[in-house]
Amino acid sequence: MSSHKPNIGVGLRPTHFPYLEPRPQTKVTWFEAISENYMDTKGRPLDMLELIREDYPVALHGVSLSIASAEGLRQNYLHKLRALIERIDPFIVSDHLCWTGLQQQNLHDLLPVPFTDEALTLIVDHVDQVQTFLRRPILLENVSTYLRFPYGDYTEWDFLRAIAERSGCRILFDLNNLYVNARNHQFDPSVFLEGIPTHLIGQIHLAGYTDMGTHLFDTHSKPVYPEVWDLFSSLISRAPDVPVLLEWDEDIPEFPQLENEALKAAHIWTYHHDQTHTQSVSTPVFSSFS
Amino acid sequence: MTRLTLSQFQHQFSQASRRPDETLVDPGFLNGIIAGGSLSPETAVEVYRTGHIVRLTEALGETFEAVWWVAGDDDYFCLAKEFLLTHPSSSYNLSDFGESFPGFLAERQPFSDLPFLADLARFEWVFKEVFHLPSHTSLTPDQFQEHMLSGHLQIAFAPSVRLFHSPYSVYEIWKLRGTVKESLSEEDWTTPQWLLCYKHQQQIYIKHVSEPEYLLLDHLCSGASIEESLTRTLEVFTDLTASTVSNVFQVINHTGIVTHLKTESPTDHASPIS
Repeated sequence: MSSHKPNIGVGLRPTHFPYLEPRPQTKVTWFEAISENYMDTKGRPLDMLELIREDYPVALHGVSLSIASAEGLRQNYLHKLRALIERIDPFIVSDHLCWTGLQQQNLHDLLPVPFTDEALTLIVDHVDQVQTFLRRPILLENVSTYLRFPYGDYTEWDFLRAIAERSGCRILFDLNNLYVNARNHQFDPSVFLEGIPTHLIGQIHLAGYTDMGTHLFDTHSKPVYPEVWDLFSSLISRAPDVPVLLEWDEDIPEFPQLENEALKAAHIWTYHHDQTHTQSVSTPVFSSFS
Repeated sequence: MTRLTLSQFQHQFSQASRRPDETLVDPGFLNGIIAGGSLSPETAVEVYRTGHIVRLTEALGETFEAVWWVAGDDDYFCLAKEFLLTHPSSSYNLSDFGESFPGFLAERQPFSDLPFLADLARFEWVFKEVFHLPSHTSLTPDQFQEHMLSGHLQIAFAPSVRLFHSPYSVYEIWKLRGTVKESLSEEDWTTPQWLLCYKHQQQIYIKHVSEPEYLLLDHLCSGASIEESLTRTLEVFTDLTASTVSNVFQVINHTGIVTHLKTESPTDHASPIS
C-alpha cells in the first residue's frame, strides 16, 4: 500500500478559461498546457497560464517538436520552448514520438515513424540535443497510428523503451493510444504494457477514441473507454507515483464533468493503493477489471 | 519492396498527404505500408490526407471566422482547401497559418459580389495579431499633458497599436459574424473606414477615426515628431482644422496607447498597417 495520493490532472483548454479565471477550488492537482498555445503569445492565453501556475503545478506538452524529423530540429522552436519553460517552471516537459511534416510543408499531425535502427539512432540524437539545450529531461509520448511498416527492426514497445534507455528521456505513456494501436495493428495491449518498465514512465495519458468502423481514431472526444481503464488499472497498480492526465480536445464538456471523468482515475488509484479508502469505493468504476 | 530511408519515407509520405484529391498514391509507397484496422493502404494514407485538410481548414477558420461566415461553409471549405494546398504551412505553430490568406483572396477574388472579402481577412489577421500582443504600461493623462508642450516630441505607442484602412466597412461586417446571413444584405458595406486598433488592459478596442486623423496617427506611429507629422498631414489635407488635431491628441491621451514620449531617435514600437 502506498502512502502517496493520486496525482490527477486535466488539460488546460481555452474553453475552460472563464470557469477557471475566478480561481475556483477544483478536484484536480495539476494542469497540462499545450506548449505551442503559449509560446507565441503575450495575450490572454499566457495570462491564464500564469494565473493557473500560481495555484497548480503545470506540465508543458508539445505537439510540434517533431523529434523524428529527418530534417533535424527547429532551433527557433527550441528557443521559444526554453523561454516558456523559464517563465512557467513546469514539472514536466513532454512531446510526441513522431514527426509532424517537412519544415516547409508542415502537416501539423503526429505522424508514424518506422521502428528502424536508423530512426532510433536519429531520435536518440535529437533527444540528446533537446535535453542538452533545455537543460532538463523530456518525456516522449507513444502516438496513435493508422498504418505501419513491414520493414521495422523493433516492436513499438521495444522501440519506445530503447529510446528512453539510450537517451535518458522518459515515457509519457498514453494508454488510449496504446489501445488504439493494439486494435488497429492487432496485437495484445497487455504485451505492450508489460514491455515498458515502470521506472521509465514519467506520466500517463488517458483519453477517448472514436470507432470509425474501419479503425479506431484518436479523437480525444469521448470519455475513457472501459478497456483503457482496465489498462490503466493494471499499470497504476504497479506505478502509484506516476502523474495521470485526462485529455479531452473535441466536444469538450464543462469543467466539472471533465473533473469527474478524471476522478475515476483517482478512484482506481485508491482501489489499489489506499486500503483505508476502499470501503467507500466499494465498486471500481471500470467495467472489466478483475 | 524497397526499404526507404527515413528521409525518403517522410518526403513520400508528405507528398501523399498533400494530394489535392483521392488520386492514386505511388504504388511503390503503398507497398511499403501495412494499413491499420480494415483500412486498405490507400484509405490509411487517406486518413492522414483528410486529417491534414481538416486540421488546417479549422485553424484557418479560427482566425478568419468572419470570412468563413460571409463565404458560407461550402465556399469557405473550397477556398481553404485551395489555399492550404498551394500555401503549405512552414511554421511549427498552427495558429501562424493563414498570414498570406488575405493576399490569396485579393488575388483570387472568388466572389464578385463580395469585393470586401480580402480586406475582411486582412482585418481578422490584424485582430489576431493584436490579441496575442502584450499589454503595456500607459502614460497617464497627466504625464501626457505635462510633456506635450514641445512639438519636437515623438510619441512611443504601445506594441498593440495598429491602423487599418479599407474602402469597405469591414469592421461592421466582422461584428455581424455568427448572426443570420441575411444581416449582411442589410448592411451598407460600401462606406470606407479608417480604424485605430489597440489593446488596453487585455481588452481589444477598435475605434473609428476620420481620414485626416488616420493620416496624422500614421505619421506619429511611424516615429515622426509631432511637428513633422502635422506638417506632412497638412500637405495632404490643407484644410486640416485645429479641432481635428485636438481630437487626435484627445484620442491618444484617453485611450492609454502611449507608453512614453521621446525627443531623440524614432520609435520602432508601433507597426502601422494601412
